[in-house]
Amino acid sequence: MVSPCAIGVFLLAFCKNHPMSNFTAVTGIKFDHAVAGVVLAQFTVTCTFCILLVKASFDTVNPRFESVSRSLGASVWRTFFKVSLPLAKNGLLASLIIVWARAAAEWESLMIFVGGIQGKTDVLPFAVYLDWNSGKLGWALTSSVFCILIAIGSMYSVQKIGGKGYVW
Amino acid sequence: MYGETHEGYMNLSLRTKSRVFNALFYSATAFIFVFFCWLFLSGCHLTSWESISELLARGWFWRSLKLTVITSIITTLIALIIGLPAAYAMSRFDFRGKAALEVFLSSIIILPAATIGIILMVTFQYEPFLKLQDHFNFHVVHSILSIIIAQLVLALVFGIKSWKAAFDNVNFKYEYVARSLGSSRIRTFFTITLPAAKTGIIAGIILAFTRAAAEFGVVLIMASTFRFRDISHFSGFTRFLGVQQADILPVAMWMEMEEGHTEQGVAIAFVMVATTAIFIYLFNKIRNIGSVFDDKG
Repeated sequence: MVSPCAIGVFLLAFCKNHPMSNFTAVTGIKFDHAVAGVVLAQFTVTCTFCILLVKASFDTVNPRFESVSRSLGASVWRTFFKVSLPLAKNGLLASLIIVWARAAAEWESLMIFVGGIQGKTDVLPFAVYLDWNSGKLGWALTSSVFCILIAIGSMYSVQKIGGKGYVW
Repeated sequence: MYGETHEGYMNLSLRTKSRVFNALFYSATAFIFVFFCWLFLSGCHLTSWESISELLARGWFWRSLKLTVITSIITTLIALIIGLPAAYAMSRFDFRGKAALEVFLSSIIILPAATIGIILMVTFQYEPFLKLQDHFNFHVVHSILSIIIAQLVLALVFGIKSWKAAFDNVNFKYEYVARSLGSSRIRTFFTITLPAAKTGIIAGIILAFTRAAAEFGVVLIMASTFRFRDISHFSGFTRFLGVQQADILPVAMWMEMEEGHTEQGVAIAFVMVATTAIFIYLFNKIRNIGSVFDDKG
């Protein structure tokens, strides 16, 4: 629930400081003004969100089934992959879709952390803003329509799958 | 003899397996935890007590804080007035297009702020709303009202979703009992449903307020910044409240970053994270209390 733009500021500080700057120097992966930064920002913003959603879908699985499977001699791994995962499947799928759509909609932290470079780091929401700022209302509106289609399409499929509609 | 050792071997392998399993899953949790702690702590390097005290000495910072609080409170009130009946309707009534409405509401949450901002902009800057504004000689865009409208969108959606969940948790049998005992619908709503859903409703209010205070993208597009505007552009009422030439906190933070005052931007970010953390703590606390009537069935 922290404002994504605050996350952007902290990410900026995170990458300026010792371990991450060394990482950049050693591996040559840059985070600011690069695609890796887009991924990092989207990950940070959707991470907690994803955990909450996936936790909700695992909460719906009765732990008794897991205990039964363990008592019948299945290992923890087998229990996890054969019992917990299939039972939580719909919820997991739904949360994956929501998280993907949320990541695709991330813009505020990108604006502070990565910065938009046309043709390089402008994800769809950023393209909306860049076109808007350069006065191309038609382009911005077209991208907006795509964003709306993505959002409504993913939410529709979430409802079809039958995942929980509450997003926290 | 053989069976015993075999069993022992099995147990051992099971135990190591479950150890590896636990270790992997715990370490994933630890990774996330450390990552976020690190993220917030790394902000400390970029700011200092001097810049924080410098920030606190600035007039616009306090005006921005005041503006954020005022607009968020107004937004939450409007969201409450519109959203509570809507949430009740969505929870109790069955109407055509209800599923579509729910999909639409949830899709607003994952819509990019830029898209919402542009849609609002187009709504208010073109016919017929523009004519209406010309008629009253008041333009919504780039005014304090536009901040409230921008914050309202997401606050309303989050509010309606949590209020609907709160009403869903109230057993409707109690309402039928009250109605059958001769209580009117309005009276049932105010004496049975509202008190039973009280904690959920308060949690929703906190959520809507937090969301409104954290809004950045839509406000940036709708209202842009006020800090460098001439003082004569602000109405007497705005000056009376003491919020002239002020932005809401997220926008103020963005302005600081753009101007190159990274230290003060990070300081504002800390203020925002701290307030959000307090509100989310309250939210969880209230939600855990639960309500009296929350048994289903």
